[in-house]
Amino acid sequence: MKFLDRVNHGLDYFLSKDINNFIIGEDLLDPYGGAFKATKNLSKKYPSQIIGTPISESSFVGLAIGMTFSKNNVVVEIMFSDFLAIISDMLINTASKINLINNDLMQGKLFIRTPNGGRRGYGPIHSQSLEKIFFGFSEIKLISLNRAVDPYETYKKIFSDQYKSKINLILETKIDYPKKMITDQDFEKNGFKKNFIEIGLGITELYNQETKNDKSDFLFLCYGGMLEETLNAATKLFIEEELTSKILLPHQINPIEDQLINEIHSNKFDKLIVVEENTVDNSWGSLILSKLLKTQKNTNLSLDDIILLGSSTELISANIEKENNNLINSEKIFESLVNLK
Amino acid sequence: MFSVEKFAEKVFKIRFFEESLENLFQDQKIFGTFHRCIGQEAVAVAFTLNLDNEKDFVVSNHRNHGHYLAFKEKYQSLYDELRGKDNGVSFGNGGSQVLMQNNFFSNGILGTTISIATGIAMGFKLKKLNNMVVCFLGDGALGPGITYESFNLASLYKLPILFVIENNGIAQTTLLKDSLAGDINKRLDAFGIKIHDTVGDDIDGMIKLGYNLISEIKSQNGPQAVHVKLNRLCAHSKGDDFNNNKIFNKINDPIDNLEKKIDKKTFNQIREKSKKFIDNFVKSFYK
Repeated sequence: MKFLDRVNHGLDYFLSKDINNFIIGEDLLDPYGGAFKATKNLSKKYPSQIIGTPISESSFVGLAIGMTFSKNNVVVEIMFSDFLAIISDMLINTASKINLINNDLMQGKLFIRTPNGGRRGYGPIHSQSLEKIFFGFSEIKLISLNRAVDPYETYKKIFSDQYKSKINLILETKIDYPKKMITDQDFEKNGFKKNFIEIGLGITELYNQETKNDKSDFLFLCYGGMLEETLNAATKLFIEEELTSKILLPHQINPIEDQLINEIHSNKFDKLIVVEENTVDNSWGSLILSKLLKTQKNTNLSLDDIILLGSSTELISANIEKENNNLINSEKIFESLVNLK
Repeated sequence: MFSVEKFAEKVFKIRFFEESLENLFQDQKIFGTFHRCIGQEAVAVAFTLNLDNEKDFVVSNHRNHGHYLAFKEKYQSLYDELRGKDNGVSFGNGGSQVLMQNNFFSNGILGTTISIATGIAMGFKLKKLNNMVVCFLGDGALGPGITYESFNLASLYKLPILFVIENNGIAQTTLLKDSLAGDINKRLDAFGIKIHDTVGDDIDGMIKLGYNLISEIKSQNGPQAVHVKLNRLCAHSKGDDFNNNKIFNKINDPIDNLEKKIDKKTFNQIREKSKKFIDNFVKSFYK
């Protein structure tokens, strides 16, 4: 089953769950079914619950916020995550302030989902990873789906009544859409075992099969589409250099959960590597780093042991070769680490 | 049932509330910033008069005291909000501009409030509730693009919403003639939103228009708008600009027009009663 199909199933589940659940956004209606087809066939099945909008991202996010006042839950599709810059005002100056001032006003929940990242040759304004805008706003929950965990199952958790967060921004890596889920067998072929830590929305743990409880050379932290690049780099480091790795892949990337920090502290490793498609400055890595600094006194972790890897600050070019040069990838991760030992 | 005396009492109370803030600020009893609506009170009263104050919704902007007090009449809550107390409208955290309580919402990021108003109206429509939204905006909010996106959504989805454009001819210190091209009414007209003209001292006209539009919007789907010309008879904020802001010379202080409609003795009684009502709140600041 492809990643996109599982996202579609998750959205189908959302609409089937309650007649007061709505999906709004641009070009969602059938037969088109959304720019990446995430809502395909859903407007046929739930015609009153999918609302097509004009190209007006700010106002239809405002519309969705207002709709929650009367106990509607609303999924908003933002066609490309680059447009998060457009809606940031609505999330930061309106939705988050409502939640902080009078949490009772939004009686329903807001879920903004968006295709994220590059590697499709879409050029400078359809390829970015702008989630950094929202780092540090504790009431805006950022969730990044990945191919190690069925997005349908993750969406079921996010759409459950037990899930309380009212402002949610969900990143789906666009190059993951046509790909199949990565199975346990796939991981094993790469020499990795998978464990799922059931805390919050969950953290996926991947480790070289021989090293579950041993000290590893590297502890990787990454999210979303960086799983594939990190896994490939870690596999190569093991096969070619006999360097061992563990990978922690959380669903929730903002605010940073204490459990993730606890996991870092409870692991034995030589170097902590944070990998993201974002640029390194003002990054998820710096968010992790600030959390670690607060808890550093409990561990022997030193700043020298932490490496932040991300993409270049150069333009993400529509020229696919230049784009590849600017974005972080498995080769760059490998090259950054192979000579450290 | 409404009476002109009751209308005048509401206007007076709001006027005295707004006037009380100047001394309270100077005496450091309240802090931060505020934007008063002196001269604009009658509009707030007229276009909230026939709303259901439990089920309908009012959305406002930074110049919101009149809208809140006309609709909710919770003077203690607003005073408490301005002094940052826990039992204020927004639990003492929003201050003057950001009032968020049950069915009243205001924010000072102009234009964004209009999209929230459309969403609230959309929620009412989807739930098939016979409720509506009155959304107040000033001429300054005709600048941001989200205003027009929201007009488009309101008309496209045929939402139960009344936009009340309070045109005082000045945004902070910039005159409307220096900031707005074209014609306000034609802008609304272009979105298929019927717009009605009135002026802020026409008490009877505004009451009638408010009553008719609220009834119409509740019985038929679709937004409508009112363009009210009026004068802001005070500074933008706490006296940090020119005080002589009477832009529309032919429009009176609405209180002057109310005086003509009520016999002198009753008018004076209403004024004294309203003044006393506000003075009691003010005294509590000095205890």
